[in-house]
Amino acid sequence: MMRSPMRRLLPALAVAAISAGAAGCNEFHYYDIDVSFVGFSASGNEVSTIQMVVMTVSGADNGRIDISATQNMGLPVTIGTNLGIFEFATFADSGTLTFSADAYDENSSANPMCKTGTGSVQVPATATVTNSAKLNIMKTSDGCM
Amino acid sequence: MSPLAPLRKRTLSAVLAASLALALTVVSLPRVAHADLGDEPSSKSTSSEGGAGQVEDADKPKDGSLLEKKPADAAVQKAAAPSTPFYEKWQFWAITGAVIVGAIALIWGGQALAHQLNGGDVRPCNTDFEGRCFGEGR
Repeated sequence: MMRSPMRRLLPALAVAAISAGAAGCNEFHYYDIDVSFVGFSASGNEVSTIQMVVMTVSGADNGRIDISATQNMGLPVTIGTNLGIFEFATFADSGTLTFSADAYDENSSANPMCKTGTGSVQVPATATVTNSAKLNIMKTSDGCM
Repeated sequence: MSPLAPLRKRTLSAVLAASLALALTVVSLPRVAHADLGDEPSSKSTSSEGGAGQVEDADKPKDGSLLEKKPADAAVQKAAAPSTPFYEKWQFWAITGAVIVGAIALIWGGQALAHQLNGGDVRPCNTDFEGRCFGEGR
C-alpha cells in the first residue's frame, strides 16, 4: 500500500530538488576590464597624479569598486598609462553591462571637483564564461592638483 | 339378597377412582413442587416486569457450553474493536522520518549538483589582477 505512492513521490521530489537547485544557482560569468588612461599629458607624468578611480557597473548587473593609492591596487601609475585588469563576476548572461570609471587626483574621497577623467564601455552579457573589454579613461579636467 | 352392589363391582369402581386421583396428583405434583420451592413464581414475577424477558428466559439454553464464545465470534469482535490511530504506530513515524530525511537530502544534493553543474563557486581572483576583483561572490 505504501510503495506505490512512494514510488511516485520520490521522482517528483528529485525533480523538485534539482529544479530548486538550478533556480538558486547560476553560472558565474567574468568580465575582465582592462583600464587605461588616455589623453593625459606625458610631460610630468600626469597619470601618476591620479590617486583614486571609482568603477561602477550598471545595466544587467550592478557593482562598484573603489581603487585608491593606499590599497596597492595599481595606483598611482608610475610606468605607462595602463592601470591594469579589473575582473567583475556576475550571474548575468543576457542584456548589457556598462562599466564606467571616474578618475580623481585626490585620494581621500571621490570629490567631484577633483575628477580628472572619465570613461565607460558597454559589454554584452553572454553565456561565455570569461569576457574581455577595454575601458579608456579620458581626461576631462585638470582636477584639484 | 343384599341391596348393595356386588363386591366385585364396588372394587372395580374404587380402583378406577383411586387411579384417577393418583393420576391427577402425579400430574399436578411438579407445579406444586415449584410453587413450594419458590422458583417459578418468583421468576414469573420478575419477568412480568419486562415482557421480552419472559421469552428470552424460555429460549435460554440450559447447556452452558452453548453460551461460550466461539472463535468466529472472537474474530468478529476483534475486527469491530477500535483500531490504534495511525500516528501511534511506529511504522508511520519511520516512513515519515525517512521521507523527510530523503527530501532534505534530495534538495541539498540537488542544489549542490546544480551548483557544480553551473560552474560551482566563484573562481579565485587572478594574482595578476592584484585583488582588483569584485562583483557576485566576491
